[in-house]
Amino acid sequence: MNTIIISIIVLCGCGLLAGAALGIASRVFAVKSDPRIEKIEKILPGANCSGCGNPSCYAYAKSIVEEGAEPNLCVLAADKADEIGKVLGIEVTAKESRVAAVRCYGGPRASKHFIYAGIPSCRAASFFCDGDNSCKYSCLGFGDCVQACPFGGISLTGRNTPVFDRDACAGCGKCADACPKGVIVLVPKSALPHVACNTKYKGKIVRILCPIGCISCGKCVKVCPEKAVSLEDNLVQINYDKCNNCGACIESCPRHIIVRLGEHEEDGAVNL
Amino acid sequence: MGFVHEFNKGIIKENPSFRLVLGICPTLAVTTSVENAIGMGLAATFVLLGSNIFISLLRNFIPDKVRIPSFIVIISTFVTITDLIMAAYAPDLHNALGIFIPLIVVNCIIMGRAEAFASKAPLGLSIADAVGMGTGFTLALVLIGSIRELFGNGTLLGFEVMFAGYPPAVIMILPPGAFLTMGLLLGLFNYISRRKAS
Amino acid sequence: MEHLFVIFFSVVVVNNFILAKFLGLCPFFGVSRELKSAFSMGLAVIFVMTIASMVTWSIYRYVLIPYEVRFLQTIVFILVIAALVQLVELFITKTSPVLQRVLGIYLPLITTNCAVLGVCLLNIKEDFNFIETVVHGIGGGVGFTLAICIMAGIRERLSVCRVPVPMQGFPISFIIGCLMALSFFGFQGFLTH
Repeated sequence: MNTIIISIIVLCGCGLLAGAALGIASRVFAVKSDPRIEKIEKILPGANCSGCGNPSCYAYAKSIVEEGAEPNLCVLAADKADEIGKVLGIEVTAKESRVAAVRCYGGPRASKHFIYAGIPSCRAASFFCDGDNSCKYSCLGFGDCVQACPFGGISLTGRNTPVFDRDACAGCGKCADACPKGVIVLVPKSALPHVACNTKYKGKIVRILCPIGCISCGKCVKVCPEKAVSLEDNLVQINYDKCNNCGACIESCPRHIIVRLGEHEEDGAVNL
Repeated sequence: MGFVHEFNKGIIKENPSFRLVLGICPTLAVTTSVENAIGMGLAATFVLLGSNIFISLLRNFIPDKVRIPSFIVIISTFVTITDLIMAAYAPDLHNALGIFIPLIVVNCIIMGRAEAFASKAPLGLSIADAVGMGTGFTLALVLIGSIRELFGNGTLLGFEVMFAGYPPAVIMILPPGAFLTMGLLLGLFNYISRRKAS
Repeated sequence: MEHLFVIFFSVVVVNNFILAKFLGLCPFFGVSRELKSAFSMGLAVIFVMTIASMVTWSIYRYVLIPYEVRFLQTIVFILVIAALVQLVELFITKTSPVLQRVLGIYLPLITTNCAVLGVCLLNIKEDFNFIETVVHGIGGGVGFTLAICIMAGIRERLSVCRVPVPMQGFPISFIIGCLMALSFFGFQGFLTH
């Protein structure tokens, strides 16, 4: 009988002590957190993709409320930017979403200067003479970007050019960081023309290296009515702030290197 | 019927050791022989059954904030009962299993089933779930235990099974053997379920 | 002094909690994808193990033994550990945001971890005094951190290798665990008793 009573007392005692200690601690150590942080965190998607530059959605919500960060940095919650604005009591307009696109469709078609049989990773391959493709600015096609995408928005078959799903893309830029060649760029979602060549080599060398490489003929530069296209270092750059999506550059390119954003053939190469 | 489905679920489709990969600690530690494996499996099943019944009966009375501590108290009560019974009636088994009997309290299977199932389901289904999961767990333990005992000792349940002059691969009884057996079995079951799916 | 070192060294490498005693395997396979998070988890475990060892030992010695209710060990220990971890979490959230950012999310994971309860039970089983208990607790945590960091390092390298499809995920991690256990087995000769 004694044992039973003592065990009940000991257990109740421990329970009461623990309960009291926790109750007191939750008062004494209470951290006052602004309720707006939680409200904003609920609006954010919770994917923790770091597209806004913060490690987690909670951290971004915190920096909006406490440090006055831009409230429209989250691409996934772009349509809810006005809700975030309501919580803060200010007007917020959604930022133009950006999507990722690869600047080289020539990877599978480029000539190779050696047979690479090493670790199937772009980063590993680029350690060996910048990869097995003869053009050292090209896409290697091993899919480091596929692994890096937190939304599964990139798909790849074999060593073809990766295909980017524009609807799944949050513009977080993780794929661009993962690419050792820097062939992945972020472009506005509504953009029309996209340059599918990344080479800095001169035209006559490019003709040897890749059947669909840019030969720097400059036709696209001449034809653009807004002067949005420029040729720097044998690289074609489109200034999307000036571009009006007329598509003249797409028509003018003799090698069909400037393509419609998102247009992709089966093997990743554009039909000639 | 609901009961049969819940029962079967625990044996193959949601086997706690091979599909859910829960409760790995006792799985690897006690499967040095089939006898220990059966003992642990039955002990865990008893605790699971008892705690599922009580939690299911009390599910409408326990406030949400103190849910986890209450589950812990109920489960640890049953574990203490099991521990004392084993110490009294099966002292050899009790010594062999050592600290892993009290560690049934923090076995993810029991806490997981209480949280995910018993706190939401009526009594009958909770019992079926407990028995199913417990049986699945015991079968998994027995499988691993048999392989380890067979190759590591040449015996099964104490009976000499391997051919005479078999040099026992003691490594199987030791920790590396446990990891190896579990890894290969998991790989095998993955392969089988992929074949079935395709 | 020397026997304290023996306890520490033996629990870190010879009888490593994960690789020899099978305690704490769930976080070993769960949190060991990145080296950074594995290290943070390890720090949290050292922290909790030490404090929990001290508190549970004291309760056992000054409450359970005198009142002859040693059988309440399991229940009291787990309750104390759960409450303790909750208290520690509240404390560091308030006092050290830096620590909170590093350890914060791992603390609730440790509550129902067999490693912490295991070390408390082992302290009692091995009949340690207070100092030995503390050393055992710290050593257990250090051993856990060592094993989980090695595992994280290997798994990071593994992500660029061609693992056969049925073996991807858990199976290959277990095989790695096997090889690690095997290599740590070489330390067995250290203890002569």
